[in-house]
Amino acid sequence: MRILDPGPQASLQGAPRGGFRQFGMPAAGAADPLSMSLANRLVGNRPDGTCIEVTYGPFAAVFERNASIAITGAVAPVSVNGSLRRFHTTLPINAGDVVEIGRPSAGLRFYVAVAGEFRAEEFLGSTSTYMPAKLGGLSGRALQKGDVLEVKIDVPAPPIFETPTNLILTLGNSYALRSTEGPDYSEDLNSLWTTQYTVTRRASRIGIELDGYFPKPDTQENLPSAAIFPGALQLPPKGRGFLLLPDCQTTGGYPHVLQVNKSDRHLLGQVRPDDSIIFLRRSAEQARADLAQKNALLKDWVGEVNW
Amino acid sequence: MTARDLQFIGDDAIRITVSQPEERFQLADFLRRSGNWAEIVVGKRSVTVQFDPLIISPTEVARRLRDVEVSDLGSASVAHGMRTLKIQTNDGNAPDLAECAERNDCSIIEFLERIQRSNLRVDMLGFAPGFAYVDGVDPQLEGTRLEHPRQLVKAGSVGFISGHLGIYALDGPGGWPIIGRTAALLFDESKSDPFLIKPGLGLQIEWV
Repeated sequence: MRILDPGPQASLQGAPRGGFRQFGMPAAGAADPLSMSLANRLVGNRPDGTCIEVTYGPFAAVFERNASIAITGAVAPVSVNGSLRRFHTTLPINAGDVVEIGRPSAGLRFYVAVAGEFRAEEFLGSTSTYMPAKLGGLSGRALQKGDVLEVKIDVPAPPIFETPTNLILTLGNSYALRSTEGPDYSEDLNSLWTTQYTVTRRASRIGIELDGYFPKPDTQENLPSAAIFPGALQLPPKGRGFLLLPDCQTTGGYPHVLQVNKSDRHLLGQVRPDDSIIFLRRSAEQARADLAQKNALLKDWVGEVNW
Repeated sequence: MTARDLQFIGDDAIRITVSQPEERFQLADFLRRSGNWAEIVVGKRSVTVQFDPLIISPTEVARRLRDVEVSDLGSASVAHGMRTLKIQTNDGNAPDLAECAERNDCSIIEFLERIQRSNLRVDMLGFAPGFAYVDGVDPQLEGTRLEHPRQLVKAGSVGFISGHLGIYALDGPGGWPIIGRTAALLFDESKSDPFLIKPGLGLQIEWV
């Protein structure tokens, strides 16, 4: 498959890189692992098989060999040789076919999976591209026009599948994210649970900046550096809240006031500038039940999502 | 039994803040041996454990961590480890050495000797993949970040700012003035334990 147009940013992403945060190694991996697992399912791959994660689009590629692909995530018009096709279904592709995907009207990232997975460089047990340090994926960088991606394993064409409709996420422009108190939360900050925030133009795989009223944390400005994870809402001393995504650093010193729960972190991959966000308060035990419920819903169809 | 100072970090991680910085390394080592955690990260004054809530409940994790006694910890192998690093200081490997020495009104040799005599210990890793903060450098020596960070600092490079050395295990961008570079393989992906430098490790430097 040769990339004709990668859009603003496209990269190879698969499983998060786990267990190496003690050495400063961020997770990377799909910003929306749920959508990625649905794409993989449609072409018979494991849930965290390496896909192309496309941010915003448009995206275009030409296939040099027959293949089966599937596209999930933020829904945008998709066409093969100019005729419209659908998301969330297995698409047989012939050598010479041109696949084009436009811009989504809601949501930010879509996932292109190929039967047999895309070949990618493995680093510390994961193929996911970590662009800031040029690791994994294709030479550790975003995909460029002219890049040729290969299928990792030759597999027979899978049957045509469709994602069950109850598993398709309907994306809009507002998000209610189930969250739990962070280590630097105090009740003085309880307006965080009732304020609607707007996403600014600062939105990347590292994090998303939020605009809106943020109360001042009473903790000192320079906290001793400690572990942080994707899903954290940090409040830098001046300015706006920052929600962390899979490429975030492993340690930080800003007040960490809320944590978007594991059950809803995949949504952070779809939040785009100007979208609105509210945080729904949950306890850690409630969050566990939410995750178990979501997992159970998906299990029969995709197996274990690598959240 | 003294209950440990635990804090939930959202729904799938718990932080243990310690009173003695030394205890972090022992605690991290102990936890690594005692369970199948997703991540164990040493911070300046804490150790944070991330877990999979589908496997173990937050309440159960908190209970287990609260019960860890100092007497359980034993001597952490890493915390008591010591490693000698040979560091080259020729021009190509130490582009900022002369300036760092000059800023402290000492000769290059004196500057290097004062760092060598320091009681160096890896405090934590972070900021960038494989980047180690080393504590204990002679507090009289001063240094600040470069005004213009480099796009590429080579793996093995050793930087200096007041009180600290910073060691780059991987190639990457960086803003620390570079005073040397080790040829030691700080990162070896073929090993199950690929990073040579870990939090708590004591360092002895040999300038070559």
